[in-house]
Amino acid sequence: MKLNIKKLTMSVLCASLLAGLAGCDSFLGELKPLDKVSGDQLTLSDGGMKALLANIYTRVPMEDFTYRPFSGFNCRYYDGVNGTSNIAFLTDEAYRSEGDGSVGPETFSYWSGAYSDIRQVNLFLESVETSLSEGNISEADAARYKGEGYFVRAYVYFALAKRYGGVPLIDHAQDKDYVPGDESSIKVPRSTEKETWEFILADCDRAAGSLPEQLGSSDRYRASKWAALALKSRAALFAASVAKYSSRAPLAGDAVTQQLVGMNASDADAFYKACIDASENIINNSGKSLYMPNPSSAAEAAKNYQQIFLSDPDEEVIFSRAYLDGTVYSSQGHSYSQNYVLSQVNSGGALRYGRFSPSLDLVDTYEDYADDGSGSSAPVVTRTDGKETPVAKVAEGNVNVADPYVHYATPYGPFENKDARLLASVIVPGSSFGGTQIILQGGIISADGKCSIYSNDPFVGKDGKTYYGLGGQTSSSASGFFNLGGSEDGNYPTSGFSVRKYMEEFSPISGSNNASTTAYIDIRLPEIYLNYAEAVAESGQGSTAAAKNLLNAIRHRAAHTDDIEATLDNVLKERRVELAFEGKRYWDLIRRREMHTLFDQYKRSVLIPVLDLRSTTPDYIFVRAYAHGDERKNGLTFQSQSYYASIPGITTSGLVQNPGY
Amino acid sequence: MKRILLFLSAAALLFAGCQVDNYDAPDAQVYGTFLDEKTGELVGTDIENGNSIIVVEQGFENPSNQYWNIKNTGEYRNNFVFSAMYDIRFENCNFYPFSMNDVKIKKGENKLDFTVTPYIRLVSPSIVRDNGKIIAKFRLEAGKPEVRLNSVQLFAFSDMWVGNSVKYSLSGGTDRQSFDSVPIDSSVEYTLSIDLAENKNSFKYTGKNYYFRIGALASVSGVGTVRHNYSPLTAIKF
Repeated sequence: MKLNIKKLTMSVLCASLLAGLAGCDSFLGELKPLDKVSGDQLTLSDGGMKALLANIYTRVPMEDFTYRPFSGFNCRYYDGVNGTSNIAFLTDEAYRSEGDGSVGPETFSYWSGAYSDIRQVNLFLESVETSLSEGNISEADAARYKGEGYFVRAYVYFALAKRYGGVPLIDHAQDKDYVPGDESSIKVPRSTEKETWEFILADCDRAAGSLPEQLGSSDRYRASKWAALALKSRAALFAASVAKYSSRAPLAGDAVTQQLVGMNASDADAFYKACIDASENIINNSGKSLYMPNPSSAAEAAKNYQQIFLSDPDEEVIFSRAYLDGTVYSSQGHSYSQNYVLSQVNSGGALRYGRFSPSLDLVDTYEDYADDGSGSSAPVVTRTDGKETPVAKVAEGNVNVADPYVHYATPYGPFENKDARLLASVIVPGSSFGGTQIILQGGIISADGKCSIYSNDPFVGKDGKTYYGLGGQTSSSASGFFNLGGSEDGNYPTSGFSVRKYMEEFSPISGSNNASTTAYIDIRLPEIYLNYAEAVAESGQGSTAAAKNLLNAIRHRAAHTDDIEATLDNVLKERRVELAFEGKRYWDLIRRREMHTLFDQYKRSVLIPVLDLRSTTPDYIFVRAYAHGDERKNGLTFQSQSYYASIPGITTSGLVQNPGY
Repeated sequence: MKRILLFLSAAALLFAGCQVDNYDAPDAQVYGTFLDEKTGELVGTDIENGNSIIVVEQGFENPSNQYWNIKNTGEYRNNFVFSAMYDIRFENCNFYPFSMNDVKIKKGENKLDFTVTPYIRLVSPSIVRDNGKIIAKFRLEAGKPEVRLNSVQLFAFSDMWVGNSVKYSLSGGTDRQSFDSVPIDSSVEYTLSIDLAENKNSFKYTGKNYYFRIGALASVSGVGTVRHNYSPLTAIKF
């Protein structure tokens, strides 16, 4: 005991010493910084350079499976419901099953992390020079390393620009600029938003100029020339859209008058042209092609499309990120399958599961196979009178069972003949996952016509059998709507749908966090096709005929047989369905300045499959409703000022703050 | 004894890095109103995402903006202000933006009214309950000739904070009219309504006050975000 007190005393003394010394700074100034990676040792060998390179790649702010819109990048730690959040939940694509969470903006600050990463990249670029001049690496390796450095830097600045607008552009490590005691010597003001985008495109060009065209199997997760051009295609389209559409969400303030945020509509065409050129180069010269472009049936198309996200096929994928099993290697892996696996098939026992609820908004956007050349969406048919509007507060007795609902024999009925990509991206009611028929049922109508929604009450049908409101006696025999509004309601989708894209359907899903190893596809060829087609439709530059071919190549791969025109509406609709749940929708709404008009007290729609016991053979009706969380919040709103995030630390840095903060 | 000495020296070290906070507490209060330059009436706003007073205290190297909120009636009060010189400006409001430099806030109470040019004036508004409906009638007047009209809407809620950001979502579609930036004709009388039978979920209780305001959203270029202009609040007992 005495010893312990002594220990305690010593600890207190040490802590006090530290705290006391924290008020001093003179002796710290003489220490060598420990966060520099340009240690002479590492630049001596190619192996050392590879270690530095690996560090650079971890800096890529990819919105992959470890990105959490409310926490940040590379997150694998426990973080409550935020840990299961997906960027799709900030849009009209989906929401988190328990119904909470906003539609944006993101709630983490990327700023200081980004500048720390930019410094690391700039130091890396210097290290390459040093290592080359000392003869430790070859000219070819040096060129490639530099290309990778520029690629990562462009990626980081892109991630900054889309969040903050114009930012300070720092293209070298500032050590030599620093005048001791004079902070202002390394303070860099914000550039205009236009200059920032131009810098990003220039870095993409620098990267493309020295990156290899072909990658082998051992280095396929490194950046190629095509990855750099694809990033340019994406960034140029973003910049062009901001220029064209900033006026949809006018802002005011110093940052606006100094053009640190926003661009002129007249700037758009040059950016659209840059997008068209970069995309064309990839389409014509990369050798990349659509995976399985000519399916013989819609069923085959669905299978092929699903496989893209499980097998990361080289012919279609331009840039992706692979994972090691995080239960074996620390700080590796991801939890996508764990977070979203349904209770019926959660045999691994994941603790948080079923958190992904795709919206009816998205499901309604898909086509069917009428293929009449119009390319129009085919919304789910629930009624015979065509009155396809959601029922408000569906659980409060507002479903009128006498309304002319369509009666389907099976829960899968409304989805027969729907676009292969719907069935490969979304688990619809009555479809199979890994051989198990998934039950997503939200209500029941008793034999005498009483409608019960969101509760698992048992009812006896006219056939004498007992049926449950949510389709199963226990929450492991059905997957949706359990405990809705109560505690532990997050593990059961509440929209009538769940996610299939990227889910590891054909291998056992472990219950352990970070056990998933499915690669995340950051850029695949159809995005480039759609970037091209959008830039053509928006600017009138490029080839309309080529845009039409590319648009229809994507549709033909999904087993459509007709050809539709590459109008802006068609291109944007195709983008929603082809790239659903791939992190695109949020930024598409942001760059096109549609977020604040879509989310103006907007409530996303859901589809509630209801078992109807009124006839001898029970059948199903489907009730359109509002997402219960959105309804509870009286709709969701995105403010115009949120198109640009607040810049932290301006009282120290003296930077001009974004409007509204 | 030794241990006490040790702890004392520890405490001494612990506080060596600290300084006494040498700032005074806020010593001023500011209050006032937003008044229409033409009619002298209060210019109401939204309680959330509505007008605000952007204030910058002078004397700092990199000052940051302070945002003072305004009541939805167009009145405001801030009882925790430091007496000093301030720059004040208005951006993203429902009236034409302007700024005032070197505003002196003295110790104690300060009354500071702002005279503004609203984008749109709601002229002779009336909101009544009639025959199972809430019916709003009004005319509009543009604050300046260039102002165009985007939409008019009748907002309803269970308390006085009703407006574009605090409202029931209503069924029926007769509570709102949208326009594509049309010129404002002051001779036109607009009528908006809420069918109470269709919205019985929102108006559930009898004996309770429900609150209504008419909002008009202008379209003006070069002024940043445009917020709704409002009629005064109307309470109707159900």
